[in-house]
Amino acid sequence: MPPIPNLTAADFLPLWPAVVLSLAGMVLLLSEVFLKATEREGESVRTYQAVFTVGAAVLAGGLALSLTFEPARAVFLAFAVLDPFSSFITAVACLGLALTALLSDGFLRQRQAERGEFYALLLFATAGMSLLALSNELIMLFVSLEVMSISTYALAAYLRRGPRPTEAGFKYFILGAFSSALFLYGAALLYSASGTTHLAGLASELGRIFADPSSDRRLVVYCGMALVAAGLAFKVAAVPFHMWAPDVYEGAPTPVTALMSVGVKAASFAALVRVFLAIGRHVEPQVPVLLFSTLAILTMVLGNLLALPQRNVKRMLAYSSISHAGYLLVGVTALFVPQARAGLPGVTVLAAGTRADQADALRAILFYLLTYTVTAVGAFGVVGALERREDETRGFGWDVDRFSGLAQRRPGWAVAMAAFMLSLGGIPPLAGFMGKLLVFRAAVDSGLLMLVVVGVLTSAVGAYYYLRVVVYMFMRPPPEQATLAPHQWGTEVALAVTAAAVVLLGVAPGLVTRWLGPAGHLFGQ
Amino acid sequence: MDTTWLTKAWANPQALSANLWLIIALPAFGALVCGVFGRALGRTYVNLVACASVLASFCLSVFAFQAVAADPSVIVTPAANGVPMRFALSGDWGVWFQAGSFSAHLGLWVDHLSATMLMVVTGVGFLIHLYSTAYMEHDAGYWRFFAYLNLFMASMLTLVLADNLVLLFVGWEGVGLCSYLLIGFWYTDAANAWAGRKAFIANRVGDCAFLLAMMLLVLTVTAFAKAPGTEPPAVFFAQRRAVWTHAATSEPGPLNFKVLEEFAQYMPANLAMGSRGMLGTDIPIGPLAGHTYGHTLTLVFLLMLLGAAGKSAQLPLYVWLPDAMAGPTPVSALIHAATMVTAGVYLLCRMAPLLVMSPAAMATVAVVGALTALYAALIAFAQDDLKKVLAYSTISQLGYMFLGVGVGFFWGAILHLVTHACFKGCLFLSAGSVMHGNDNEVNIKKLGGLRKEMPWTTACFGIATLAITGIIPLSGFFSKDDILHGALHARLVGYEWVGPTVFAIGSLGALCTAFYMSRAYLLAFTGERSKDAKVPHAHESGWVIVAPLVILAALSIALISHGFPGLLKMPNGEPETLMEAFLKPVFGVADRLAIEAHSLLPEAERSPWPGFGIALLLAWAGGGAAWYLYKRVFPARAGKPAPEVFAAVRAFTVHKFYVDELYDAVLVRPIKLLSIGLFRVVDEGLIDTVLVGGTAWVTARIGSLLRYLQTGDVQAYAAMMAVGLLAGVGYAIFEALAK
Repeated sequence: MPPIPNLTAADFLPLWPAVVLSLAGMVLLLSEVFLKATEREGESVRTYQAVFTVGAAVLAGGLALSLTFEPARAVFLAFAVLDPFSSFITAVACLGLALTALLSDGFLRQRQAERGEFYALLLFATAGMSLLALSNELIMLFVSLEVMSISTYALAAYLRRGPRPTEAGFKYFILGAFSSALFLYGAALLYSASGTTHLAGLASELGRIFADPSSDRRLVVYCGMALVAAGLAFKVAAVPFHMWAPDVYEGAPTPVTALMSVGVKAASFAALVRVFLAIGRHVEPQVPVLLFSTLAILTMVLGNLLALPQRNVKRMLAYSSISHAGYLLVGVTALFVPQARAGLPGVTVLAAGTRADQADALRAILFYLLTYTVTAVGAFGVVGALERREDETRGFGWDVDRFSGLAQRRPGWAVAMAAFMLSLGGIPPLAGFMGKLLVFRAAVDSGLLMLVVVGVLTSAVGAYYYLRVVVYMFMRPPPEQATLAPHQWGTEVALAVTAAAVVLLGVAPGLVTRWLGPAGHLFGQ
Repeated sequence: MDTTWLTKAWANPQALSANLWLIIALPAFGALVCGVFGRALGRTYVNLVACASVLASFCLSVFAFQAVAADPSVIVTPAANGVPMRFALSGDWGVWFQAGSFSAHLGLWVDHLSATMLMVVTGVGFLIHLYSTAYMEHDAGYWRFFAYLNLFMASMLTLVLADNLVLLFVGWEGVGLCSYLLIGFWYTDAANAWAGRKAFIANRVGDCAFLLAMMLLVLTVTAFAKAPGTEPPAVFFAQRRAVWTHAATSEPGPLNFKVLEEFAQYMPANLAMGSRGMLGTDIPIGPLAGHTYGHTLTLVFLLMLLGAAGKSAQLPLYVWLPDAMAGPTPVSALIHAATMVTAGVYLLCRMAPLLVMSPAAMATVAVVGALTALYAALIAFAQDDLKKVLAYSTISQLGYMFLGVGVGFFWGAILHLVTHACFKGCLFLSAGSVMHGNDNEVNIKKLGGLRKEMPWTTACFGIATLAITGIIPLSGFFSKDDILHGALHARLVGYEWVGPTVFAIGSLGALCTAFYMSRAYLLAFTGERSKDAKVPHAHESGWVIVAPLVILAALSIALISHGFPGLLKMPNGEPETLMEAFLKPVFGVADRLAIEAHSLLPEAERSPWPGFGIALLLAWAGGGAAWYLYKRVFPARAGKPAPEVFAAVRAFTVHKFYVDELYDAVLVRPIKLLSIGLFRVVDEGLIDTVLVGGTAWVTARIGSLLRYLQTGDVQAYAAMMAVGLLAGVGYAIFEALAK
């Protein structure tokens, strides 16, 4: 039996955000038992739960941001790392959580579905994201992935009325289990080739394998890589592992969809980047480039094309989420391009990419995740605010017609939604434009012109379905019997914050890019 | 008498420099107020805001002018490095934009040249604003009018105050826009709207050339600054030469006027060594490598000349100005006589230190100016529309200014610009007063006899006519004949024929000017009232209209002081005019560079008086001929058909030498046909239907088809994942086994 490791307090430092989130979740679960809900007009009011969640998210996010100043190091016997990259991902996940909690309060109250476990599940899922971002070992990574995933399976099926939520939860669970199995199998293959599950050890072992031209373990490594990539591509909803996303996004409660499209995506991208920077940089360089550029092109093209015919705004946003994963994959691809400026991906193979290129690409990915978080949460927030319970079971609750004349009925929402749509479409001077600009620039610097051309063209396609919403809001008369949900303070605050952030990040990206400086390097890479 | 107060700045120059932006901001604010709240504010307040903002701007300009003019250190004193001191107020509000190594600042400055322009623009501008309050009193769109007019002031002041070409271009485009808006002010009449459009398009042709000139200039200056061997001293970009500077910042960018001037000054020193002379040196680096500095500069200035010709209505882009008379008359006075149309002259004078490096461009400017002066004067012969006569006269007078610039007689051009602003402003405002009193009648044949009914207007128009013709020595006489005198004695190296030629053409033009202006005056104001008159009796306008006329007429007389030869003596004892001395800090550099670059050699100073004698003779001849024809010959022949010679000449000139028709046939129609064809075939057919519509259609169809993949069936989803995975693993196996 190995000796009990000698852990110090410094080892626990990166865990604090996750600890805060988990504790808050447990407190909420217990509060259900001990606290009696305030009765108001015959309905129970549990606003404190949302407030408490927001508080926990802000505390955890603040802790995470303060951790970005810590020097990067490995902790827990290199099972985890403390580096600015993981801390930033945690902060983004916490931001997503706080905004989701704000949206959830009014959403759940209208459906009389406020219960502590909802927020507790949100908190546990976010704790899982935080752990996922800092995992540096395959088993730890898998456990974190499951903490995050199982919470979201439950959240997807949270509203039990009608077949859709159940269907969503079930599909997500089945396919998620499938993808977890792929990931695990891939991890096992990698272990069999290298004898270790630590990413750092894996990296050096792979270096040795590929330095030796006569090694017969390449096949195992490549198969393991493909399987791990498939497992993680499922989480980020990259084509062709995306099929679950539209159904699940549509069926899940809208605030949960928001969290899934931002937090889950951010944490999964963090894991993808960390795993593949460990293993991808030591294999033949064209392999990861081809792998990710294929995924990126498929995801961008199909995500946008599939969004095109959607009249259902929530489903359209689901496809949009897929296409944004494609743009992020362009940035990921840029991480692996050899220094020689290959005109087309995988054509020229020379020395591995420089650290400066890689740092730019990493910062671009992080910035993109942040901009996508505020934009997508805002967009789903408006969609959720316009939903009516009675339409839910009939499935046309999210038809673009619901947005007709919104500019006259709720000008504030309409302007905010227009900002979100234009930002998603990548139109300056909004956040989405800056995100795309940085990612595409990183790709151009790496010589991935082809990917950027596809990215820009598909963005142009995207403008069509994003602008359709704007057209409906501003240029169509409002429907006759338009009833709108009453104002909910949480929703209003969330929309105001996200809309302001969308504009601010687009106009003054320097506010955030300063924080990103040190996050351009992953510890140990 | 204690005159020290004259030689001291009235206001703290430092504070003035820091607040130069107010000169522009005040009218801009006025425009905003009038444009946004004008209708709600009502006529009185709109008038008040519009006039007060320009008046405030004028007062600030007076202080700025005085600060620049009063300082005794104005005299050009060669500094240690041979660069003469320039004296200017200068404010810099940091980098406006930056692209690569190019940057442009938000910088304003007032040197002697821009101070002169400032006085003209704000002074005449204020008078015309005042005049307009009465002229537009029955027009419902008064608030729109004053908003445009104030916006014009702001743009024009930006143009004048800018310390770099980029900011100048902002003003340049701004005045173009306001001109367009004001020409088409009564846009319900399609002809007015078309006139506005014509002006805009003609200007755009020029602007395009101007932009190209700027780009070429940037390349040239940058190449010079970076070229090995011509390494300029550190002063080149870093040091700013202003005595008073507000917040001087880093490198002001290659299009800053001071940088351009210093560029011009370092060129002879650095390039004179080449065997082919200074301007024959090749540009060593950059996109222009292989071309000589001389050729590049010539090209720059030919393009700039085209830009200036667009704005200042010179050949071949003059066609818009006569049509621009469709706008309200105060607009014609302010924009199309006094200020905007002189922007081209101002631009070329600004560029004087570089312009003198290129004798070819100088010669072109002079010839274009002289030809325009004569040509427009000939057309003005037979125009019956009073405003059209004045419009052609403006084109012609602007031609004299270009002529002056072209022969290196910059101060003369600026002096003529100033006096022209006064007397042509006066003429246009008088014409407006005539229209005001005669139910908008502009046909001089249907007026007549106004002398008795409109005495003030007649007197002012008369004085201004004398000023423009030079029948007796008023300001216009000296300013124009200073230019002609300068032309006769200028020797452009390689183009020696230009000086005498343009002198001859210009003198002929002066003869014509005297004729057509006298004709207009005689027909409209003297004699009996025409039988075709719209109203039986004209009425004199109110004091708000008359006062500006009187002031401008008085200025037309008073400005004689600035052109009168020999009021001052140069250190070497040669006579010097007031204007020449005043503008020496600006144009002294250009004069010196012209000699250093061996491009423009002044002949020994000769007495101007014989030339003036000839000019006076010509003016008398022209005026006398007009008097004889229209007072003696034609009235006696009333009722009889005109002699055939006269009829033929008249037909030709009435139709403005068929230039509009020529442009229509050669340029407008083919372009129109081409664009209609392109629109139908390429735009509507190919782009709209096939490319845009087709792409959208195909994309949407693909999207719809792909929807069928999304069956909602979990097994199918898993199968899809498996396919993806298999592809990945298959590739992995292929990669691994390929080794």
